[in-house]
Amino acid sequence: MRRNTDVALVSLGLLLGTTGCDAFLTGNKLSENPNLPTAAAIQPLFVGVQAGQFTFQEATAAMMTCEWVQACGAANGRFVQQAGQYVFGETSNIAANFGDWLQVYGGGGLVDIRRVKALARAAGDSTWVGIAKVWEALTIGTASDLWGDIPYSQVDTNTTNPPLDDRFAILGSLQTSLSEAITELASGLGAGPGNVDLIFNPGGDQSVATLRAKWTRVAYTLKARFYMHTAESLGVPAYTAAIAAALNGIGDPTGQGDLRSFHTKVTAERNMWSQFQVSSGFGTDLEAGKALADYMNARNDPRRAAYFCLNALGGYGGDDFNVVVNPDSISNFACLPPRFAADARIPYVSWAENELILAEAYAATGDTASARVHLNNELATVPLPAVASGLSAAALRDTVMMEKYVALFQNIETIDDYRRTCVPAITPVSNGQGFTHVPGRLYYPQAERNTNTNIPDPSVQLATHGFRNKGDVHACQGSDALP
Amino acid sequence: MVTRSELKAAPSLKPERSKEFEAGLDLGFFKDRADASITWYDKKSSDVILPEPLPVSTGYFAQGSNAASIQNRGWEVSLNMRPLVRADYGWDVGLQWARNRNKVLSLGAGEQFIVIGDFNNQIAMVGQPIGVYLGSGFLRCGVSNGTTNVVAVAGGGTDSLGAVCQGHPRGALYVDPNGFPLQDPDPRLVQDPNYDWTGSVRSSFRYRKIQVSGLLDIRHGGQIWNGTKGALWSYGTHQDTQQRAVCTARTETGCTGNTKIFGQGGWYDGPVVGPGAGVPASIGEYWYRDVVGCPFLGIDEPCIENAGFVKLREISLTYTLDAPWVQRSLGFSSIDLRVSGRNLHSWTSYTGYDPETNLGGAISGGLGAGGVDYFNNPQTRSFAFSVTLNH
Repeated sequence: MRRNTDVALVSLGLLLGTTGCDAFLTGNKLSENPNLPTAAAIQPLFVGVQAGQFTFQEATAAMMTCEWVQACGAANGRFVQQAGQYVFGETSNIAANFGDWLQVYGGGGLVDIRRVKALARAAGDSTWVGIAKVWEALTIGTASDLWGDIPYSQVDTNTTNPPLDDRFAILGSLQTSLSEAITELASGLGAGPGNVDLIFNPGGDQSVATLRAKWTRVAYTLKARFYMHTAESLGVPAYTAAIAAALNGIGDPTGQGDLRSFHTKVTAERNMWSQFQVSSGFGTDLEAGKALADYMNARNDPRRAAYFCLNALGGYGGDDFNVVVNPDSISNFACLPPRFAADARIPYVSWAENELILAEAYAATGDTASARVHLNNELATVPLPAVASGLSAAALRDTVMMEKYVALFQNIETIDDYRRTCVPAITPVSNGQGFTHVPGRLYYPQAERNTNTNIPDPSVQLATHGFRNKGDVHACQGSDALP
Repeated sequence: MVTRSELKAAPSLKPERSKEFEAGLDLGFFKDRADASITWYDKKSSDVILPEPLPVSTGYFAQGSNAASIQNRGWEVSLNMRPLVRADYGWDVGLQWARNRNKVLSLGAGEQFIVIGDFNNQIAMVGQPIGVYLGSGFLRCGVSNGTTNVVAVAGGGTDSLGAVCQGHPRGALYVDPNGFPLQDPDPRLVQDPNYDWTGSVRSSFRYRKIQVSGLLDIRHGGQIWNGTKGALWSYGTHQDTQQRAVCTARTETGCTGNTKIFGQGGWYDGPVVGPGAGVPASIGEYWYRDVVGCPFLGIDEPCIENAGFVKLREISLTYTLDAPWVQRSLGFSSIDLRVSGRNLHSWTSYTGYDPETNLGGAISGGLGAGGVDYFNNPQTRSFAFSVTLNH
């Protein structure tokens, strides 16, 4: 009897054990990784989009363009300095590499922006759809500034060979998209992202109406920016369209209406310029550029303390890629001036830009009085003395562009301004790469060319339109006058 | 915060499969005083799993895939000889030789190559051995694109590289008006880390209780990327930079002194073309930092070196204690006392520390991404004393 009981207990144990094991091997805890979700809610996805685009706007592409317009200088001979001397290629670890390209298209980029749009659309949240469209316009517009013709209209995750869209077609598409964004924002539908809008509502204290209004103004300023990108080619109609858009653009001179990044002092959330100084090991390679520092010194510009560290002589100065400069006179950023602070918010689309677009466009179309009003509006907030009347349109435009060069420090848009106006009148860096002008664009990354037959070889890219984007009619050379 | 993974899920991976055909012959000669073996093999691996690249504009950069088929074909030959076999003394010699030819037979339809390197852009590309390096080189006739590359010509003006190269041999180096070569903007294969053949010579001589043996390892051909030298060039701390021009600007014309003429006098010897042929160029900071500093965006070609070597892998001296007291007192039939040294000397034209080294180590090298020298440690030289107790 005892033996029979033992057999029965063992059998029961085996049966229960087997059943238990079976459930363990098929449960969702085995097949689903909680750290690798396959679907995301719109809120965390939108935060990911914003963080991804902060990286794109502040990382290597921004640093390289800062060097190319000589607002930044460089030392120590490593990749930072070489980037400033046009040593770059399709596999460079700065700017043209696939990291920047991936920020445009990959996680936190276009693929996620479109997902946010789809989720917002499904939820009937026109406010959020409008905001996402503005982000898409900023991302794709900036990417086209850097690479010219890029994959856009036929990009999706299943297209294996996306064609390159013409730059002007992209800019036209973005104008349409921004107009749609404005309409969406005006519809009054949806609560929008609330406090996951890191640009205008990180404190969660703004009403949805306020957010709609601010994003609408950003959309208009972006429209004005993109019209300006066609102005060298299209002339007066582009300037006129830019004026019309900018008149509805960002109107708050305090900076509260600017599309600025949002960072904190938490290690992973720091400003990219700050991270580069503190964590990269290459921070001191980046310096102030002589062209920018000299101009600001000449005007005793109060923004110097925010932009630069004091040099060894107790003042401000920059380095020159072409001429040996006394090292003691060069400012760097190692002291983390306010623009390089961990939580510094870098303006990507700003009231200053809007005012200076108006000033430039009015000057270009002969309305010097209006141009001077908007230039002086902007100068007053610095503060700097107003520009008196009597300047010729060309001279006024030159002054406007120099002020824009200063005001948009750290902004990729400065390279577009330079290409269009050839201001500042910098001397292209002597180099062994065969560039006689500031490079007009970046190489497509090799990772894209490897798998996309629409991407030409680097030598073909170099030989096409002087390695400049469509609309960049005139290659700037040293002291070129405005076109 | 959430962002979409940029590595696309791979829903249908299959196991890799290999088929191998091998044929061999084992021979014995002179009453076993010598033996030889010859083996030929042909191995094809299909469905090799690699991270297949995707157009980044799709939002993904890669997807695990059964992307490649790879062929390894080669010979292994060995010859062992025992010329002297006596009770008190003996001598034997062993020779080994092997050659492997590796080729990527196919990749997925969507890509030109798959990156397998963990540091450099070493790739798998159809028709090429695995691990070749897609890097940067100088503008050269017949190698660089002759149509799209437009270069300066003698007397001013520009023309296509192809026109400039007319009548000149393939590989001729283009030299610009200042006497310097230029970078080819298109990447190209600049390095094959795979050896042409490998071999070894082993020999031992025994006299009574003393045995001396040695092993020579031979690697012929193959190339190594000397990034250490490139970095030291860039820093100005490599011995080559001890003699350098005085530079006031890091440009072709910003330096004076230490002139070299490309293509002659041991300075990049070979045919040259272009308006700067024969023009002395001052070699200084510009050259070392901005042109040949290969790890820092400089051109890879000057950093590629022959990786072949002959290495005295080991010499050993053994004395065997087998006197009766060993058995009686210690209970062992004999004791071998051995002194040996490993990696004692290398004969090589490589200018770095050790052509055998690889940044990614043996695992990376075994996967095809060998031949990368970037401040890695050389093989250690070691000396050992050992006691072997034979029971």
